[in-house]
Amino acid sequence: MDRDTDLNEKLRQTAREIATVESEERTLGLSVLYDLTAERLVRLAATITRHQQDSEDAVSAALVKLAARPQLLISADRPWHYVLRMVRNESLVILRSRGRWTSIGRLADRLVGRAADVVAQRDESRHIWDALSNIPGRQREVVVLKIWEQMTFAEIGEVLDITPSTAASRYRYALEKLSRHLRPHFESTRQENDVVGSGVAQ
Amino acid sequence: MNHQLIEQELALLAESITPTQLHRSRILDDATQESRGERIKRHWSRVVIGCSLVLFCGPLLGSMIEVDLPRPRRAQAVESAALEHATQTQTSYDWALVEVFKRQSATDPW
Repeated sequence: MDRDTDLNEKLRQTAREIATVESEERTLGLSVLYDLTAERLVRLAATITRHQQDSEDAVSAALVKLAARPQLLISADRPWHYVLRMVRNESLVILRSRGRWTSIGRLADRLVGRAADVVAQRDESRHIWDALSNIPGRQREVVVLKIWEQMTFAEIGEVLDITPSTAASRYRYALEKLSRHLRPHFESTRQENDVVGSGVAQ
Repeated sequence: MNHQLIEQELALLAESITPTQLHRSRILDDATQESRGERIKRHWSRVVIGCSLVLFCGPLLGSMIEVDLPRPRRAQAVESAALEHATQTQTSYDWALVEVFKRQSATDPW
């Protein structure tokens, strides 16, 4: 919680500044809000939607709403948790509406050259992303909040509207599944290292 | 398999997930369009409220401020009053008419 105390204060301050200006001048406040939060929010949205464009759309929708109604942030007990919840909801809405348009959308993305992959194919972390993408969404979001947002299970429970023990058990199951998914990758890496190691020894 | 290793790998993964370069400008454009749309909506709602006020409250206000304008006196009534005055005061009809008009303008300023 201490980690985000400063962020909460900054968010509340930015929201107050946005609230004092006319709606036409709110883009400046929004840019500050973006710089404070966007990177972390896109990460969360990406793990829910598993699609770059969709995750950015979810973040856009949430931030534009907040710029139009800054009171939501001012009155929130923990503004950062509130923003996370908003982005999560927007991501879920996009995910639900995407269903039937998925294949057409993917084709359109390819045609206009828009990035659909959250993590590039050649990225070193691609294997872990693939493993994370293959576990259930409910477990995925707990993992993300725990590791990337460094939240306690109580805080995760608050954001996801579940009990801390549910959050903890989802996390445990997620790590078990990730472990199974990643075993072949780690084993092949170890074998490669062994080969290199024996070559050096010889 | 070591969970700590997986947690380390996951932490590293965060660096690979970033917004695209155009995202920032796109979001600011969206916000500008949103506020423009909001302004237009606000303008039209004001116009609609103004028109409804004129339509519904106009007739009511009109009936409240309606003025009962003095109507022109009938020539026949003036003539009979002048004749009566002439016989009572033994004056000519023309002077009686003048008297009737004077009396009339004193009581009713038209």
